[in-house]
Amino acid sequence: MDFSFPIESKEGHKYIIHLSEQSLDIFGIPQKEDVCIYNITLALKNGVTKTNNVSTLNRIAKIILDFIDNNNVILYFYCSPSDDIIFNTKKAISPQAYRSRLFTTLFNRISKTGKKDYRHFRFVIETDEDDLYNHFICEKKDIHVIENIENSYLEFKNP
Amino acid sequence: MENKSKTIRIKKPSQRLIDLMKSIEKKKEETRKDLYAKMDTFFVESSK
Repeated sequence: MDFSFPIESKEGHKYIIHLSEQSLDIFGIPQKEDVCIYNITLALKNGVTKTNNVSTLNRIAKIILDFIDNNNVILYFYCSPSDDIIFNTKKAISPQAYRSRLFTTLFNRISKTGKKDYRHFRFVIETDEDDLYNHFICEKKDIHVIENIENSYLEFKNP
Repeated sequence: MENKSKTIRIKKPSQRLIDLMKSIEKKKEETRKDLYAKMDTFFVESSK
């Protein structure tokens, strides 16, 4: 089952936070775990906007935190290369790297206030072009699932 | 204090792994396009 949460920022930007169930087998591990992985997608109406402000980030974090607090799930976030965000950083970075930073900030907010003991795993897949970033947030009890995914990724490396 | 975040770097990934990531990326872009198309519906419903 998928879930969508619309929010509107103080500046009038409209976002949808979409959570869709993702089968484990896409990551190369069998679907035998009793936990579901939910893929997070953030869509913004009107395309490009400036950096998310703290208030918007807090609201997004609250929605995601409520979801993981109340369900037995692992959250997954693939950092898109889409350039529909404007950001000011001291060093030039890719949209993927910027989204990865934002997601890490989001986890830091979640881990401080969540009901459960959460862990965050950030996979950086280095390629000849831009690096690819994947994030997982899970409960401490589900770390083994992420370790299985890590092993699977490494096996992909050495077929 | 226990570190709750971990970064795992995969250097020189196989083409299979890159292809997997690209397929996830493609699906994500399709989802985003679908959400853009339905965006007004979400906000009309949420404002009721």
